[in-house]
Amino acid sequence: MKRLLLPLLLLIAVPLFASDVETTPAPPAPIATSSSGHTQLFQVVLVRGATSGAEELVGIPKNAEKAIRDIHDFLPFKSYKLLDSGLLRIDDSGKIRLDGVPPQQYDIDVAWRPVSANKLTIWNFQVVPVRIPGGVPLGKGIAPQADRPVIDTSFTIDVGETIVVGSSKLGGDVALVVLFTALPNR
Amino acid sequence: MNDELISLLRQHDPASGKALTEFDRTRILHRAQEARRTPHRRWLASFALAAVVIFVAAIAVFRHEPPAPAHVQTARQRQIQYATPGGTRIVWTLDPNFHM
Repeated sequence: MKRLLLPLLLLIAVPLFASDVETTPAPPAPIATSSSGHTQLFQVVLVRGATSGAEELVGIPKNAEKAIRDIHDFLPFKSYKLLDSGLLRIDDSGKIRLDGVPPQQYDIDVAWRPVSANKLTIWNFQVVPVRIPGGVPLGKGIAPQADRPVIDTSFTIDVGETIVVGSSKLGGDVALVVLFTALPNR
Repeated sequence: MNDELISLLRQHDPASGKALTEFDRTRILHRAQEARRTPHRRWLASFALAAVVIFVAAIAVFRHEPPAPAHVQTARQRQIQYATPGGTRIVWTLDPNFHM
């Protein structure tokens, strides 16, 4: 009987461990052209879209301005305001902190890999609001709430392309828009 | 007819007039006792096996229960991707809890 029980237990236990392997999030598949040693420059422009108000796009880069013109007829937002912009040069992943509507700031986390000479996969793109210090102190034994990204996505992008990444409520009157460009390396 | 058959069988019985040795008697008794005990043992083994299977299945069910959501108030986000006629691609997240 003991001789029968042991193999039976093993037989039942093996699928349990096997299923653990399946539920682990898969990292991006390694590819031959690794990004290590090769950095990529990204332009990140943070814009607020609104259904009313005047447009304020002074100082916005040309490529971002064209993207805004393109989305004017597509999205319900009639005015866009430049909040902040920055350049991000990263090897594999990194983040940039940009100013939102004061005092709010956002961390834009980017992780990328090359797909081909002119195409990249942005396998992680998150916009996370930065916790504003000086709020009401938490009670004893109450853990602070985790930072929830307002945007959490992935996509592919051509070098030189500007992608509009945004978030809003359905029927909402404001939107947070990131104009994200993979700049050609010089 | 039956009586004739019985007497015929008794006449040709190879064990007729012989007695069991003490060794054989003990052996037969032992076998009979064992046979009486075996169904109980089998039932016990089946019960133990069933208990093990139920225990392992319970572990499997508890391990695969989805974790409690970190944000109770988080409603389902929807994501859409499309391109404008001008060629600009848009990746948009519709979030019922969105706020700037």
